[in-house]
Amino acid sequence: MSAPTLPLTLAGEGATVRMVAISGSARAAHRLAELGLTPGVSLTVLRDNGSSLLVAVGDTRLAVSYGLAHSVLVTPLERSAPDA
Amino acid sequence: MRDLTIALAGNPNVGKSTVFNALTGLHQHVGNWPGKTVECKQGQLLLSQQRITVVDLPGTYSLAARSLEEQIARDFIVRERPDAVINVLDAANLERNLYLTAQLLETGARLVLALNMTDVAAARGLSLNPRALAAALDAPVVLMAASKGQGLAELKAALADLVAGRGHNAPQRARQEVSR
Repeated sequence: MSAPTLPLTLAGEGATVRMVAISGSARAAHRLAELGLTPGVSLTVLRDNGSSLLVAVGDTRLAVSYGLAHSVLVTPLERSAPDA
Repeated sequence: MRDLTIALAGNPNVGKSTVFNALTGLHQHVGNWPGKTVECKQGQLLLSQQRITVVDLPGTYSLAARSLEEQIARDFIVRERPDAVINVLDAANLERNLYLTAQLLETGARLVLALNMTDVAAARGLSLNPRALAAALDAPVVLMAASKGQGLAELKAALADLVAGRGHNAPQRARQEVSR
């Protein structure tokens, strides 16, 4: 079994994903860990405006730039139901 | 008796200010740190005849000083050396909150861990083991639901113990007497 892995920037709005790895620098990994983004956590992309993402991690919402989000590798979990 | 200073530190949105208001009874004035645009609130608490200044630091995810808030929180804890630091944590999101706790422990500050929002954690079926956490981190742990006023007496008792030198991590740390 190998679930597809993609950068967080490609997950798309509404996607709930699990973080599997960080491909960027140690500095980026460190900062992401501080923000609670560590491999294994699940997160939801709430907004994607083309240059940054609004991400929900637990009860926290974080704004993440595309640059940083690109180094976050995730695997899709489910898609939340589209708004009626 | 010397006035003591206690700082409140924690991630954003964990209820630091709620704990602050509960401790100080909302008699706060806003203090501007020199050259800073982010403000720290401070208030007074009287605990068994001891006057304590409580400082509400900005919410931070780390002490790495990469943002202004982090810099203010780090500078205060490292340079001003408060007599104790209340680390307020969101009990419903404990894991991510403990990153800052680890950094706070590294500064050598005397910590009291206030596990806040235990009502939310309980509603999600999470069960907390404060004794295990206290033993692992060598710091007193208090369970709170500050918005409902729960745990405030326990927090004050833990602070009183720490102030009186009966706290977990108090004895082995040399007490810095600051004369101004």
